[in-house]
Amino acid sequence: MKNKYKLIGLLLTAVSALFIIFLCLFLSYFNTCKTYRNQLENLYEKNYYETVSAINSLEVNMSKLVATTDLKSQSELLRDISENCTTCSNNIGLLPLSYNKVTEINSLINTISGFIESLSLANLDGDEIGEEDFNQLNSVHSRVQEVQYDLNLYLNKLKADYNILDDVDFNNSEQNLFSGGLVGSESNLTKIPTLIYDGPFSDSVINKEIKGLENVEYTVGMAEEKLHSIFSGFAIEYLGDSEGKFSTYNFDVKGDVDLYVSVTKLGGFLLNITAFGSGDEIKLSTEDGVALAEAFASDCGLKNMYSVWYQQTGNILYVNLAPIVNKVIYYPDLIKVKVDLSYGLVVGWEGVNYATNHVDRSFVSSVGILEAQEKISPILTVTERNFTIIPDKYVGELSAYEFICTWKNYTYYIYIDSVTGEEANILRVVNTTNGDLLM
Amino acid sequence: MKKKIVVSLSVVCLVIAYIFISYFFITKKEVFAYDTHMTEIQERLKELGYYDGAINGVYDDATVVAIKNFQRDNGIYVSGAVGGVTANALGIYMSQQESNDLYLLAKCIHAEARGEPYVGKVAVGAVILNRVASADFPNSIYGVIYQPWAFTAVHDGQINLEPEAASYQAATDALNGWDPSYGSLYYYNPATASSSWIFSRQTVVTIGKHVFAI
Repeated sequence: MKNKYKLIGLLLTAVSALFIIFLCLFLSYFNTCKTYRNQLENLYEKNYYETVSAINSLEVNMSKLVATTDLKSQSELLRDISENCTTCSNNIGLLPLSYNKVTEINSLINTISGFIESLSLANLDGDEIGEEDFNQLNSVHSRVQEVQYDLNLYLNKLKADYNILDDVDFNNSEQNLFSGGLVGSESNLTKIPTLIYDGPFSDSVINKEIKGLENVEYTVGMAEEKLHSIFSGFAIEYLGDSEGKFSTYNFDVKGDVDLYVSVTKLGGFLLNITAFGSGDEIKLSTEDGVALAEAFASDCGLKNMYSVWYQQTGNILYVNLAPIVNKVIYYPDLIKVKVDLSYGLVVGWEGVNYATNHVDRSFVSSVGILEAQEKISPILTVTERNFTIIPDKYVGELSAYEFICTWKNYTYYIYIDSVTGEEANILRVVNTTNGDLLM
Repeated sequence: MKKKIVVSLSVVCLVIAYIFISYFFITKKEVFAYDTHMTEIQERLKELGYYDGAINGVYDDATVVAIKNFQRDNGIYVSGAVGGVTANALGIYMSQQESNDLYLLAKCIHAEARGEPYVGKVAVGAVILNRVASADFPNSIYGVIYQPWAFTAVHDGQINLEPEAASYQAATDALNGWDPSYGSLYYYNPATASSSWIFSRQTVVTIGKHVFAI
């Protein structure tokens, strides 16, 4: 009997000890969760306050821009508006708003940002804001006012001891009640045009006219036959088609490496090869890899394609090929080729730029190359000069002299517009952990 | 017999307590030093007579001592670490940048598309980059990936898994311009997608289990 009581006593002690341990752990965990929750709430509120502050400044600056005619003031306001847009965009993306709300605000901010960028460019050229731009500015300003009104209303709620996290259900985005005050903005308020300028975020860039494909409709059989001529001895299996910017037939090409290959329905152009280069021991030199890429392009029927840049990452060599016609490099028509230096195989091909842009064109100039070189900073040493056609985000493309220069151990690529003599672009080779990049 | 039960119960209690304590209170810390310029630094220190060890790129005690001596002689704050001021004094231009975009993209691809064919991994990376270029989404890779509710794998923490080689290469391909999704802004697995809205998007291509759409 005594032993029985002793056993019960021991059991009770063990269970009590366990209970106390669990209780301590629970309290500790609860406190940690509470701290995390407070920190998260603070972060969300800080982001919200900054968003509202940026929108308020944006509204004021836009209204000032409408009212001023002085070019210097306009320039300063454009710079401030651009900063307001960046702040707003950075903060709105970190709020627990529903996916559609973030998309909607981003769309507005990016449209303003792009519009302001185009106005800044005109401002640099000494152009005042024209009537059409003024009307668009006015329209966008109205939209900003509406968003500003909603956001400020919600701000009052935040001041009244309200927590953003109270309205957020992290497990169900559809049930997320936090809207940041943007309840009616999707349906009732003023719509702004989605395309108000032809800049980096313009739809017209995405839907650019395709110039580089032959006007011949290919069947699956014709496309497969073409692939057999390029990959002789490989097994080719048709996978299906795709209907995007390009309509393509897609194939699995089986050899040492499995290649996913797309051929355009229009023109039967080899648009894409994607594969994992998984070899270990490098057997080809960089020079051999570049030669292999150029020879592969030639086998595909693309003559005059030469390497203009390459970068090695492990056993993979990425080679940029550009058409060089009459000593002019066509940079907008780049084809990117991925060579596996272990297998000695082309395992990647990206021909969208070529398919989109390639037509014969000529180099236009009204400024000589020596005159253009005078624009280069005297601290730089020019090591190479080329005639090029380069992509330009505003006018599509332009003729430019390319000057490859060095300073300290930096290498620069500077492009001088051969018509205006102005600097069109400047790039620097940046050594990253992922190889040398042009930035 | 009863004694055995008591002992067993006590052991079980202790084990449970240990597991809980380990889970909540013991955090693993990993400390590592990384500097891709270390070989260059050692060579320069050797030229200047501060270092006579092996040129092996290892940030060891001998290297730290050499750096400290160099800093002391040149009036630089003595830390033993090579920052911008010490690098400049050594005549080394530390122009190398960490490629964070690649790492983050590789992590997201790994979390979202592991088990998918390689081309499907590249396509997921391309969708992220297409979003960066689109007016409707944030303007950076970080912004797009961390947009609330945009990616399931970010939401549930799978993004913190270490990416495999194929995901790195897929991310590199996507950053180099490969886009087997042909401009798609969305992708979903029809077998698991819960939002009816996503099914209204125009399909571009199906790769593996993912439907890519605009």
